[in-house]
Amino acid sequence: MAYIDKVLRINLTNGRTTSEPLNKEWAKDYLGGKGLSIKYLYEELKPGIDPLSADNKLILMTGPLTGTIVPNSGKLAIAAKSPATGTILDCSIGGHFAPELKFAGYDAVIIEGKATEPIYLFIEDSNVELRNAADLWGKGAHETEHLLYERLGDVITLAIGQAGENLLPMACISSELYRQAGRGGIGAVMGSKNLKAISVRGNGGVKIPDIRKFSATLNKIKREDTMTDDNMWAYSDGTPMIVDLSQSTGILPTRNFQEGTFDEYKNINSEAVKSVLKAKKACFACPLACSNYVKMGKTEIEGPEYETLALCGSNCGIGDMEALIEFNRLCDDHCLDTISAGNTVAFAMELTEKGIHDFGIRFGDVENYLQMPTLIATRQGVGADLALGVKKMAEKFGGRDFAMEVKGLEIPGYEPRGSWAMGLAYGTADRGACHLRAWPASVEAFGKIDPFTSEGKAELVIGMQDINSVKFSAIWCDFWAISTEQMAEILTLLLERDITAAELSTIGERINNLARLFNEREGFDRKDDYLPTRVHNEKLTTGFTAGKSLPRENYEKMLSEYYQLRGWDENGKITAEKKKALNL
Amino acid sequence: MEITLLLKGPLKKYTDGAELLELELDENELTVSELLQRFKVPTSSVSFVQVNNAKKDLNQLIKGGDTITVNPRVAGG
Repeated sequence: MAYIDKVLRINLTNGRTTSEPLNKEWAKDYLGGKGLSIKYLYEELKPGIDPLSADNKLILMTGPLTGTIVPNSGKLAIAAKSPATGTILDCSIGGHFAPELKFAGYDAVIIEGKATEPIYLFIEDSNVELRNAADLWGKGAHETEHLLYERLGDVITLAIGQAGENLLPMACISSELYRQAGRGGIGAVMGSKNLKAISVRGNGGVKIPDIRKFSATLNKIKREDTMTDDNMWAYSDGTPMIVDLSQSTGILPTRNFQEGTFDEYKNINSEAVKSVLKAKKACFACPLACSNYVKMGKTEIEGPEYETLALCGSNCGIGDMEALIEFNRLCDDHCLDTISAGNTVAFAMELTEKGIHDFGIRFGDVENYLQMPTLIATRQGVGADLALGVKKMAEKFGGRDFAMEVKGLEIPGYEPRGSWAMGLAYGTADRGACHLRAWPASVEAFGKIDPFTSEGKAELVIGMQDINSVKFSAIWCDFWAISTEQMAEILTLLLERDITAAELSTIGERINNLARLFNEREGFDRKDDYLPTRVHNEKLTTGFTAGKSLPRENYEKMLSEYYQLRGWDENGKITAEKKKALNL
Repeated sequence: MEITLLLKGPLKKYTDGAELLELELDENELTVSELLQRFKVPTSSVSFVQVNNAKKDLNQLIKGGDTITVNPRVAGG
């Protein structure tokens, strides 16, 4: 079976570890990954808890595909209530941790409570140990991983850096040095529990029914669908290719989203990354190998990915690839989410240049820019204020109209004035401004759909959100443009029951509604589905998007239509009929 | 007429790995779509095209001296 049928529950307050069967009823309705972890959190967390208290829970969740040879199935979901937004939060992280956890004999790990002193977890099959991490506390994620590898042998590790220890709302969790569960302060949840790292070694495997048929089907799909033009951009270039696409369509965030084009874009585009490329790297079971391993000067990293190039590059006015790579390395080591960190530095730059508050850093100032990751992660100097993130900085210093965040989460690298559906996707994403819940820029700004109209955008965003929720629950990486029909074909073989594309669409819808219900219980409604004022009131002036804004009335129209199609009321609350229809 | 054709990412396979081609064509006018057919680039694999850095549709007429950039479809983010 695709599930191991075992959940490991660890209470850090009393040090007890227990195992229990996976809730199969819930697994049928939510698959695994994103959906199932949200279900567990919805049922087990009391409303209104402090995300950084012992009351929050951290869930590591695999999916039915994890550990199999299904292409692009190597990711792990990590979920909790977000300290950045107060919403539900699920992140996904690539590499090899998820299959290793399954090989150790678990579908999921639920971490509760709070340790009295720094600890790390070591899991090897049925042996689970809480070990002292006093000597690791204060170290970056890179050194932590190296030390645990030396100490424990061949393990895969999730670790936090200084940002997580210092409870930053932009702290992420790192694995295999350069992979992150990035957003919403998931690393701060780990830090709040005094949990420095989790290392796992699994000596088992997963059982596949009718392996011959399964392999034959997968080989055919891989050949005819995965390794085709739609997906091979990930191998040929990886995400840096998006820099040129964004520049040419006027949606490359530049100088805190003041413009959608960057004069120095050629210094940070795919060709610039390829000029320092040393190797391609892949996650478990991935034939696409999107990751670029680069070396420039003394710095070696996997990356930089598009989001980093955009938010820490053009958005900070930085067209210096060597500086960008070093900034990226520092963020990875300290475990700072580069989307939020880049936005926050850019916001400080604009506040400084506008004379609102002097943070001593301006657009394009490489020397001070390179000081920022360490200052922010350790809350030193101006870093103590930048560590608040954009929303709280705006509340403290001003600049609310150009604070580029939604629900307290900083905006990813696609300018919504040049991709109106992207604006709707940011406004309605369950964890705040996110491009992974739906990425309509791919078919709108980069495709054939008119990006400057509200017509049809609600339906487009809903469809993408629902299919992505299925992908992140099964779990597939979103870099494979797999159809719902193909997902159903593979899951039918794996789960040994008939699964249709229609059933998967319902599962996707159910997951998004449950996430909304979690947020509704925390007090979120229409007032929280806003976009930054800049997007509505300021027109861009360069490139393809010159003269464009996303007028508030157009945005509100899309939002109302979105609620209507979702079956929610005008205030964005889920109706009783919808709850009943989805068995919520 | 002489034009420049730029195929991005995986679309280079349709020109045996060459990203940039300087072409001399017999015609004085043809559409982007007709140019792509010549290299057997399926339009389903194309996200959008640019002519002289401006986003255009596949029916755009190409003229001598133009640079045509062809971008692949992308998924994920």
